[in-house]
Amino acid sequence: MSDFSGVELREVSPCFKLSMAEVNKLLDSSGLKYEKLDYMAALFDVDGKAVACGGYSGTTIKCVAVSEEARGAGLSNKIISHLLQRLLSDGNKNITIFTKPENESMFASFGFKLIERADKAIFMERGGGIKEYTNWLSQYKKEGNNGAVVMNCNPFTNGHLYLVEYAARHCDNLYVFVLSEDKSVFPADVRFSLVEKGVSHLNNVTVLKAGEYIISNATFPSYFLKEYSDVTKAHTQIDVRIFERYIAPSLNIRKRFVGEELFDKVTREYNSSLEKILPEFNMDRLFIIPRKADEEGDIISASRVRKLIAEGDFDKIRKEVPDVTYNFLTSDKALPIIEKIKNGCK
Amino acid sequence: MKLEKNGVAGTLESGDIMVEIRPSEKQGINVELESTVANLFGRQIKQVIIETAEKCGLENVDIIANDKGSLDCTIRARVTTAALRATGGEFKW
Repeated sequence: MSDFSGVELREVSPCFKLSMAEVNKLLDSSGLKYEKLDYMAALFDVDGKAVACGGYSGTTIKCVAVSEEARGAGLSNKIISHLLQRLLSDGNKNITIFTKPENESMFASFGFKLIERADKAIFMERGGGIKEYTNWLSQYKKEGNNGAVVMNCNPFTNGHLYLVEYAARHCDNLYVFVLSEDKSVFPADVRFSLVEKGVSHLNNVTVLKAGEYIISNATFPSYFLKEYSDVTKAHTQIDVRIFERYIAPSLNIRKRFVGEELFDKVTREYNSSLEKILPEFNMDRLFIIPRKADEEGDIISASRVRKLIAEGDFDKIRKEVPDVTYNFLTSDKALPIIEKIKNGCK
Repeated sequence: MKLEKNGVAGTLESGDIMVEIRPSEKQGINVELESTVANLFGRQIKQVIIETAEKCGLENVDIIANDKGSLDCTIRARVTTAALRATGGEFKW
């Protein structure tokens, strides 16, 4: 085996073209692809070749690879140590990782615990965040046969309202989870407060922040990359399983309600994973609700509303969204968001 | 001694120990140890961690330690450094 005592650790980013090219070669040979990260570092041997790399986005470790000939030299320990030191000293408590099942024992030795597994991927975390989250959830626990809806609401439309009203009629208490990831053009706190106000007339509905474990950058990264790939299926399986194993029991949730998805392949995959996995967890039922159409027969969707915003057609928007969203859109606070949508932001 | 923030020291490389110290709501010094040699030396490693933490004046903390076969002197050094980083204190050489 070659000697790897002389390796040098350096930060890499797409603007360092030469070292990035080396890292891309390494990722490629491990069947990985570079994605936009908050931080990335790699170990280079004396010839300048990348022999190990890894990075993170938020508190999720990603793109970890070690070159074939450098296995067994403790380089993964070096790179993971470095990433953990940075993440932990920034005050992060909980660190997560998506990895291949064969890496389970390695990450277990770094203090990661298995949270959930799918056919081709596992999800692990270090720091006990899931327990903290379910403890927090259980303060909202209500007796009964409860249901759940998970929505992004970018922005909140009549279609979402219709889904919530339907679901609320079909269970004792309904929990509406609004995605917390700030990756949509409407910021998380705006989306949350629009939903909260928009469903306040329904007294058996509780609106909660979805947090880190429901369709987040940690559990379901491909949702935000908006592109379908072979890992998408694994992501949806993990996300659904985490919900059913950890979240549903904390709130007596026995039913899931989703809107029928006609176009988006990633969401369709998510719905089909729900259909397959729910029976394993003894859930009562999955309700797939057909999309609501407006007066003119057009299907209401958040993406259509964003299109209308870009076109500036506020008369039409009025028919597609509840008053609370319309009032927000016509307020000064919405101006920067409208500007972004007009510039092509989603 | 009051913790200002989390403190980390050490690596996951062979012969080292990564120590993370966090403020805790629980009483006392709570150690969570993961070690490659836990069966043989787990108890001793924990004891060294607790003794060092007490010497540094820590109270009500969670210590998460990930050991890769470190010696006692390494453990003491890593715990002390993590404690100093967490308390924002300075070491008197």
